[in-house]
Amino acid sequence: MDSFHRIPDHYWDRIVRPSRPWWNLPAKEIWEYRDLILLLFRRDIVAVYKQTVLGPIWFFMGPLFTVAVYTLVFGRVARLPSDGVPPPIFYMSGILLWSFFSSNLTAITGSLVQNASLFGKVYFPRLVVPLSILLSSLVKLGIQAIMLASILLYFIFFQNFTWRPSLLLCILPLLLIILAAIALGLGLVFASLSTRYRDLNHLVGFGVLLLMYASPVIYPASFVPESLQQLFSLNPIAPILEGFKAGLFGLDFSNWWGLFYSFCFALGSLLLGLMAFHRVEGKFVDFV
Amino acid sequence: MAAALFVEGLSKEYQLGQLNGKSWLGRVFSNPASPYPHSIKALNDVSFGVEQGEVLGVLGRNGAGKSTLLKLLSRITTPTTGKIKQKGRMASLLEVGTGFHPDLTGRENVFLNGAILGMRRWEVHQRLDEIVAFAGVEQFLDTPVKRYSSGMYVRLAFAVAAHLDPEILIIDEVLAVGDAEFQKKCVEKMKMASRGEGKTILFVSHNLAFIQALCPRAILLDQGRLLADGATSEVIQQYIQGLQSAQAGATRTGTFLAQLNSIQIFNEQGEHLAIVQQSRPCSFVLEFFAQQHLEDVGVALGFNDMGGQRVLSVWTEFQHQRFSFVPGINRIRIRMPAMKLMPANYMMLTYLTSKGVLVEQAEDVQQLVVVAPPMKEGFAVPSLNQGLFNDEATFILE
Repeated sequence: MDSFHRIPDHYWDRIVRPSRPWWNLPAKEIWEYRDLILLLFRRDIVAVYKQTVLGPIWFFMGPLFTVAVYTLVFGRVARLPSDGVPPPIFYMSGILLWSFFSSNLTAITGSLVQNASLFGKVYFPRLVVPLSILLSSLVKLGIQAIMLASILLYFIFFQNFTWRPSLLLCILPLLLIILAAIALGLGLVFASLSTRYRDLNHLVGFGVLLLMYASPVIYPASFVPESLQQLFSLNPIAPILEGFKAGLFGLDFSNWWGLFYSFCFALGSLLLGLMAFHRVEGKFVDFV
Repeated sequence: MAAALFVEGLSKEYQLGQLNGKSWLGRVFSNPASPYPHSIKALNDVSFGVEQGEVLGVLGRNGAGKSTLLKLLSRITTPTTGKIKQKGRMASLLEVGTGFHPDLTGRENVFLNGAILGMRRWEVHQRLDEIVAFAGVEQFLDTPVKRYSSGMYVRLAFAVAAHLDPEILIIDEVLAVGDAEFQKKCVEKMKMASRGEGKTILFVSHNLAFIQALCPRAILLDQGRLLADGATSEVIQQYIQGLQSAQAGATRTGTFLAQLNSIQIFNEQGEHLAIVQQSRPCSFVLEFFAQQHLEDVGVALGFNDMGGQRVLSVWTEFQHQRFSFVPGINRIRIRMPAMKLMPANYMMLTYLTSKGVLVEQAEDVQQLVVVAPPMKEGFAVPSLNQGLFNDEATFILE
């Protein structure tokens, strides 16, 4: 035994200690497990349409129905304005970014508790699971982008719609990164807390629904009355949706401060999320 | 020799009770002066080192801290205090088939499972044929695993894990799964891994015969502490002594040059039985631990009714048989073509002699429960009212 005590630390490949500092992300290890991220992502996608007749077409059906219902209820019955754009295009563009955000947030929130049995049996960097969720959401976003494009083309060729996007559309990747960071950050915070307090799973469900009505998904930002503007500006998702729609439909956009606020919010929540996740990831198997 | 693993002062504390886990409302209303402890030390200041290429057996009763040690080693949870230092890649086969998705095919699951266990894609690719052949599921590779038989499922899962290429391998009771032939295959694979490829293996099992066959050195855990660390035969002896003192009811007499370790009951298919069905074949496997070489060994297994009256004995003398025992583990299988005892509870005792001298008589070692065979509509069921035994007689109307 003494001979083991005398071995210097640098001899060992790995030393497991009670805890590591939170800023010390296991980036190298996550990279070693990149195949697992891909395979978990593949499992999520493939398992959805195994033993179905329509297969991957189901990925298109969900958003298609949503757009149809929104057009009928909010466009025809409630007659909400749509920035002078044909309602189906307007709703599809809102749903595109919103569902990317909301599906990420809910899936990441549930990721620790749902996979507890897997985590209880084998070790891999726990962040792998949220990252694979992010990846599969990105693919679903791509599918919905194809749908948006086809609806757009239909209206251009058959309904004489003139499409005038502006240069602002080029910041779309940045918008997506901010959106993903907010979803990941908040998702990790909620996921960490929900290992002890299951109430959060229910709360997040309600919260996401409420936040959708507080965001310009089914109505244009210009539709918000003056008296509510201050409250509205607290929502970090709103400027992103606003910016995307402004770019897509060539509208005026001046809410740069709002966008900056979203950016800062994203950074803050990401940091908070990683800290919270780090606090629970080593031990949550003991009490989940 | 080079060091492969060093466990240094390892402890793990668990919080007791569910208040801590679930709701803070519950905590507000809880009794702060509860007499029960709030935490338990599942592992308490455990230290040991393992050299490269060594096969270390880990022994201990249920609740001794074995699974906690394995969980910490495989990094499923973090220690409360202490360190684990390792050289090279470590993999654990705690539970096979982790992360299998029922809807995915065998092939897809092999890749997924491999990745979960830390293999790169090309590594799985390289070994795919080998894995599939080892599991014997070639024709079903592109079938969803939910349509696999449970045997195929387990074999495939074990095959993936067995073809991992870690420097340190932790194996826990996985050999308990699968049939005898597959178990043999697994043991061969492990022997090759340690002797041929110089891998370090930590092996946890209740099967003392496996431990003795595979591990030259063993450690013994008891109530979270390291009780012994040394040559396997010595550690096994200490383990059995601990077990025997825990077997409260058993009374033993004799010279104790060999001692009964366990009685296990199996059916014809080799499955472990907790209860025996009347008129069905069964075997009793008696495991003895001998201190030294013993010649002319006679073994008897007796059954007492709950009143202490002997109702049945089987004895090597009756069959004109005698054995010789080697130092260490000796197992004797007693095959009975049909259990003739009527449905009831019985107490088992064993009787061991060498050259006519009593080595050990162990009474009240274990209960045997015999149940009635499946009932047939409109017919009576055998019971103690009709006597002690039931024989398979045939009735012919002439």
